[in-house]
Amino acid sequence: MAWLSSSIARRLLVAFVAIFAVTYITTAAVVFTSVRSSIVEAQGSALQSVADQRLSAIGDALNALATNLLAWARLDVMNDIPAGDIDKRIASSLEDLKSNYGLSGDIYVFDSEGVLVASSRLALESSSEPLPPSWQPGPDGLTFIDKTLNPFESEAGVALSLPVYASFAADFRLGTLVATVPWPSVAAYLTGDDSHAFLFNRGQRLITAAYALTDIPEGTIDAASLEERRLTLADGPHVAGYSTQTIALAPDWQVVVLRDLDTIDEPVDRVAFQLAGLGAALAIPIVLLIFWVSRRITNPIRELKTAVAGITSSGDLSERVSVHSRDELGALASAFNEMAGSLQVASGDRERALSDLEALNLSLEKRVAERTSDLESANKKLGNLSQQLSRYLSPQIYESIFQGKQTVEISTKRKELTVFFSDIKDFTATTEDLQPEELNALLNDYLTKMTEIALEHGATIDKYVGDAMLVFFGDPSTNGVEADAVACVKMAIAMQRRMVDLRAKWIDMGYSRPIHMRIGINTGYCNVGNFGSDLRMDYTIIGAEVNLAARLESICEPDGVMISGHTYQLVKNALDAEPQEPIQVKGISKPVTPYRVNGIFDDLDEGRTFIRSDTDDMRLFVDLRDLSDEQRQEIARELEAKAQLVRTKRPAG
Amino acid sequence: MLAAAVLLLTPCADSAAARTVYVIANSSTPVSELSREDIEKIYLLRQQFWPDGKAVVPVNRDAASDLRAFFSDIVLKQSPRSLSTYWNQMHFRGKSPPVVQGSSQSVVAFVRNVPGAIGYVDDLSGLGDLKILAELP
Repeated sequence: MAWLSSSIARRLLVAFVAIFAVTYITTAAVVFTSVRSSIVEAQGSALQSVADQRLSAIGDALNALATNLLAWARLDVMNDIPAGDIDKRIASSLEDLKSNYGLSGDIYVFDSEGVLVASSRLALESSSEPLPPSWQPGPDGLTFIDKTLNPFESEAGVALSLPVYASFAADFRLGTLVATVPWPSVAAYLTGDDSHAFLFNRGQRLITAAYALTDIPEGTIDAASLEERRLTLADGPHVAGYSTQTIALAPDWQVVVLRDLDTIDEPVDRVAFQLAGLGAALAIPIVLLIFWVSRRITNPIRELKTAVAGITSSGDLSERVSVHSRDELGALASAFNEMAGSLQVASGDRERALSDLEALNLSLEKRVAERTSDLESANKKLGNLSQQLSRYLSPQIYESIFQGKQTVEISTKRKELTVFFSDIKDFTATTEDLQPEELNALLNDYLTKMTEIALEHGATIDKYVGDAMLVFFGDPSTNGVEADAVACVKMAIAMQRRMVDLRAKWIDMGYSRPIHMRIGINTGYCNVGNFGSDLRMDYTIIGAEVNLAARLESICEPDGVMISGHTYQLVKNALDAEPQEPIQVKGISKPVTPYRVNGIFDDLDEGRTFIRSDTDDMRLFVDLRDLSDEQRQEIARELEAKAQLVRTKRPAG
Repeated sequence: MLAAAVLLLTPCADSAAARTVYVIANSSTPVSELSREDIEKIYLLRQQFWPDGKAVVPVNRDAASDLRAFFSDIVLKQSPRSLSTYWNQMHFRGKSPPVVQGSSQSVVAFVRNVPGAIGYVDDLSGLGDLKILAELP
């Protein structure tokens, strides 16, 4: 199959050869079949005429015998029948007749009683044998007795039976005259030199066969075999010729002449051999012609293939195919050459364009790299800048702006906020003996820690003013006014509690005067947003409520938290606070009742490993770690002794 | 021929006086007696039927028989030669000549078996039920 599919020439060769073979074989088969059938037909009809001849020969013989029999019945000697042929005149006449006519059979004369009177057989005793019933003539006179056993001769044969009437009285029946023909004499008419014949009656009963095969079953010869002129016997098929004529005496008889099919096969085989020989003789020049034609058709294709393969392997587009013909293949070759030419031009263009493109690409990459590094450094700078800038802004505000939630433009809104204001009591006086560097460090430490706490609680850092802080809850994100207020007060408490540690730390660092923080908180509607100009703006809050927070801070005791009435209303469920003396606030007509938050330092020392107490005039520190009970008792006694001294001892002078 | 005739006639002449011809008939024949003229009519085919309508079948002896010569001479009063000529003529007229039988026994058998048959013998033995119609001369 691969051999076939790899070449058009081979396929053409195979296709043409197949067409030739199919055409020739079909034609040869038709010719062969018709020749064969005509040979069979001719043989059949020839055999048929042979059969007719043989049957008519039998008929002629029987007719001759019948004519003779009629004449013999009229012999005068037949008048001796009534006398029982006492004089043996009939018998001698019959013997004479048999020898004169060369009869193979015998002649029998029976009287009117059916008793044998005379016969041509010398050995036969007269008047001893009755007329066999099968020999009884019919009412019409001469009667043909089909093949039957001759009782006198003990062999089969046919017979003619004739009633004998007296010459002296036409209606006086003298007896019966019978002439027999032994079957071998009949069968002798059937035998031929090169054929076998059967005698059938039309009831298809085999009568005899001049043939080795005698056991032909009844029904072997049917209408189909008559039609086809065929007959298949035990020894094989035969061509059969069936007689078409009938003989008057035995109208049922039919002769079949057979010839072995082999005798027909011989000429048929000769025809087949001749046809095959003709086919073979034709095949050689035709195959050569087909081979030449297919090569001629496919040569241009092969050239084209070679050229294409050459171009594919070498990439040399300058190769061309030679154009031989003006047919489709020639046109294909021309078209291929044109295509190769165009491809050659296009290939040159493409290579030039590719080298240009490569150069462009290189410079572009370089430029992109330059721009990318520029952008990266700018981005880095911007990141740094934004990082720096974020410190000046509340993280919430920073995130809002840098995540694009809020654009930087002058716009304000009115919201209910909780405002936190803190300050360090007597900061200037407290820090007057500090160096500026120390003051900065202290202030930064303080503001850093407080800012951390503020951010932990979600506060928005508005601004630092020296030691003061302005912080609010509720913008840009809010958890609700009440939650904001609670968060703000808890932040304030956390700051004050943190201040305890910070103070201890600062004292350890050498700041002798502890600093104390005051806090005021108020809740109310404020204007919040960007205030200022397009060139410089500030995100802050403005309003009377801010001032109230500052005022509350100013009246707050150190380390305390003072909240407004409104704030108290919002946080009273979460915290304990007690009202203070109402105060008069500028811009507010009615007195305002501030509330002091209680329990700021409750449980402050729980979980701590030390006891610490720092006031302006006193410092106490007891390390409780690794103390035994005796040591604890000793420290308590020491403290009680010192307490006694504090109560009683007056400084001298 | 003359010598033969002489030879034949010699014993006839000897026994002629003593010889008798009996005319016999089938038992079914409706007559019991015939005259010489009647017999002549029958054998010359002038009477072909019995009174009851049955055909008369005359039986003759073969030509070589001396009884036939005697019968021809005594009864038919003609020579055998002239009789042969006569019967041939009758044959051509469609009348069968008398049936010929080769012996007396066969004549008797024929007459016994064929109704209407009539023949002649010179011996009465073996006749059975046959009728004897005449005794000549």
